[in-house]
Amino acid sequence: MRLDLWLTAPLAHALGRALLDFLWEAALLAGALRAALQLGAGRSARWRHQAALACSLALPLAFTGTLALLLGGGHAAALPLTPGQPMVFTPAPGGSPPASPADWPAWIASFWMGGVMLFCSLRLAGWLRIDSMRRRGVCAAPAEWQRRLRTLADAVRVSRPVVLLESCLASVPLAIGYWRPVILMPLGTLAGLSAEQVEAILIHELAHIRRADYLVSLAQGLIEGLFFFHPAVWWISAVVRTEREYACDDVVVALRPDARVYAAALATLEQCRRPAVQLAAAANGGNLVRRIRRLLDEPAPERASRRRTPALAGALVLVAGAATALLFWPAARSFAQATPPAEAAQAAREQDRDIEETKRSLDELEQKFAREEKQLHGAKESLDQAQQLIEGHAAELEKALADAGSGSAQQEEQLRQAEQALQELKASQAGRPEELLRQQQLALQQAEERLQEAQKASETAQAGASQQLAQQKRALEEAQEQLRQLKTRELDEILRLQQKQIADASQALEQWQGADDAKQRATLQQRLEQAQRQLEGAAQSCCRETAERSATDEPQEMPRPQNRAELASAYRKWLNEDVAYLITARERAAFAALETDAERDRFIEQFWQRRNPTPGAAENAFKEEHYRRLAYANEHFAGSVPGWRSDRGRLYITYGPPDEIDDHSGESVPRQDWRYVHIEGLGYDIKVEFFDPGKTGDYRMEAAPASRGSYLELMAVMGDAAGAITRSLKTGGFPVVAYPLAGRPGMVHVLVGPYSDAASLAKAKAALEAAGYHPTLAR
Amino acid sequence: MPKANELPRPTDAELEILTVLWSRGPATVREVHSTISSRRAAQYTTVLKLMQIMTEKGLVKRDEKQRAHVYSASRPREWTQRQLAGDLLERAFAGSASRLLVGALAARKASAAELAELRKLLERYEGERR
Repeated sequence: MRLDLWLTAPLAHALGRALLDFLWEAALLAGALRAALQLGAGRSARWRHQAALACSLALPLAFTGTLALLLGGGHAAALPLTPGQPMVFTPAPGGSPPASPADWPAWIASFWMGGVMLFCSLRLAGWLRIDSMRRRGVCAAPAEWQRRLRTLADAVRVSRPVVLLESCLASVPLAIGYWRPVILMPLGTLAGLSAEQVEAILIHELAHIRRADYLVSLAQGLIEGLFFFHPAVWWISAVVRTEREYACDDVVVALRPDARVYAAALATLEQCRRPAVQLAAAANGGNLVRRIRRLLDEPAPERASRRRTPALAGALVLVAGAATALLFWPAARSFAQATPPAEAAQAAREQDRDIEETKRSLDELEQKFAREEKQLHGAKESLDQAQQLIEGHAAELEKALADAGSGSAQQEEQLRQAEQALQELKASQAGRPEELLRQQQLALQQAEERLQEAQKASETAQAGASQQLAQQKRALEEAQEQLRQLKTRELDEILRLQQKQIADASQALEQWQGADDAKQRATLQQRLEQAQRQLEGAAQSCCRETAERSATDEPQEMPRPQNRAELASAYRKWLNEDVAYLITARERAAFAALETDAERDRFIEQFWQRRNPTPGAAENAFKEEHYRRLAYANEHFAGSVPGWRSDRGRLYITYGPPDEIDDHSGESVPRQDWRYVHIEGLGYDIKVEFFDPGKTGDYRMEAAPASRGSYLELMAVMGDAAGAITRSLKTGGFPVVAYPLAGRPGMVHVLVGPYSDAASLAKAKAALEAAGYHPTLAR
Repeated sequence: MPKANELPRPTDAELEILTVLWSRGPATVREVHSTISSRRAAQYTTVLKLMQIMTEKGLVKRDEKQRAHVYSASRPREWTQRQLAGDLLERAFAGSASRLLVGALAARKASAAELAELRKLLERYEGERR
């Protein structure tokens, strides 16, 4: 089509005028939506979303309606019907048309069509890219998660099969497709978040699928592309998006009432999302803070501004009205110009009348708007009053509920008061105009519903709080356990160093015992003493450190690395309970660095395989024996701490069943003596005593009480060195008992004695010192 | 083997294998094949051939210590994601696509200030519940 023909075509003119009319139509629709949202302030996000969506769909309807009217209605007679048939003011066909002021609607239509093509092709490219994400860079999620997704889909009532994929291209979780929906999770999300958090996110995505939000989003894209020039269209679109997310959040909270888990998941996802892909063109972000505030029931800080909004809505409506008046005027004038002169006078008269009528109806409309606004204002105010009253009572109720479980009588009283207040309010409404009364009754009904909701919410909050308390207790226990582990680990480091020194020293001792040369003997003794002193100093500083640390660190929670905090509870249990006494510091560090559950599973398998007495065999005697010991300890040694964590449990799990148990539970201080014939790395005839002074069943490993005589004590590092010392002391005729030290694994406490009188004690001490040891008197 | 910063951009089929390796960790060809075929029909020999080619290109590393060779991605996924996102065409589409996306989070990344506010909100909420 040639440009001059297009510019004079009736379709182009009608399009241009319809576009101009659309300016005020969209503004009116936006104003109406704004008013509807104000009135429905307490309604669900689902209702608000539907209102916004209806408004959004009304936009193209209004536009096509106007276009049809302009093309086929009363004005059509005034316009030439076939292109090329010259209008009054166009020159003969063939000549280029002059720049006529009457062409401007056609010019507008031309620019608009260019814009629509640009926007729509961009949208199409975007859609193709999104659709390709269901195939590109994806891999099926683990079967376990597919299974869980099916359960969740049933709960959300999604009947179509949903595929769960991990994607390396998606930076946030996405729901794509309507007929064959898929959920894309960014790589690492399934393993990085806790199972509860992943479930909450999956429910959100399933809610999108159930609500067909993908289709809605495509339709929105089309509408935005068509009416790209109008800010009101973008605003309506933004409302649809916001309320859509709120509605899906509501579905999540309905199924998983602990909003904290979900809110934390959203915040974590937002934080972990990679910054590489900047989707800067999108302007619909920034509402995550509002959403989380809403999830956690925090009042928005801009609440005060709500007072002004009815006035704002009114102003919008007035602006729309003014725009109507302004736009009708030039449109009418251009019609007059386009009419042949013979009919011009007639048309002018008719149009004058039209204008008069339009003005009159506009006036009426304005008055009506003003009236409605006033009514709206009145209704809104009384609604606010009722709401404030109810909120006040609801707050009191919640407080009372939170205060104590014993406050239920008080609650009932308050509830009664609230209901009474409601009754009073109802009574005070009598005598108002019927319309207002009806609105207020509606408001009251809503308020009552809110009250009930608030009551229910406070009940669930109470339940949630006690659940959380239990969780926190568990977390505290775990933290304490980890603290203990950490202490052990550090101590192990220090001790390993000293072990070497001691080994050197005892080697030297043996050399010395066999050496003849006096000089050599003297230097060796010197070396031995030096090593012994170093060892004792180190052991003392260890004790000090441990004491200090337990004094200062106990109340604080140990800082934990992020991935450890996110570790699934099954792995945490394995690490801190199942193999707490087996795992080496190096293995522990390696395990903490693992990122996926698959890696952890493999690590655990290899962990046991390394300890398998017959490598490669399907059965692992070591693992079986270890779990048997764990089960035995938990069954028999449980007291204030689980059996595996008690002193007896620790010894039993580490060294197996003792060869002999002497039970003295009937004595004034209940006691158990355990004897091991041999412990690898510790020596022969190891005796350990457990005391239960509180008679609570908590037997503690302790040095013997002083009443049974005095002991001389030595510190040694478990392993070859300790074996050598106890061996040489025993061969020297000293009565020796070696204890593994409570709270300091890796260290052995060698007690020499008991000696009942000071003289024999001094003699033994002198003999020991002569042999190169530096014993101290036991407490 | 080409230098690390000269690694070729993976094709779509290669990207799929890389995704499996990033998701599941080092794996044998059989494991990769079974994961892929749980989503779509795929020949074992095709996957094997692809992974051999990828080894030559340097996209994956092969551990030959065990009887069944274990493959792992030679670059972390963030690196390849950056490589893919750096594509101009990709970026032009991303802006337009973002308005059509439906998901738990907005298309625009939250600013540092917003993230800080989120943390504060959650902490305060925790404090109240305690």
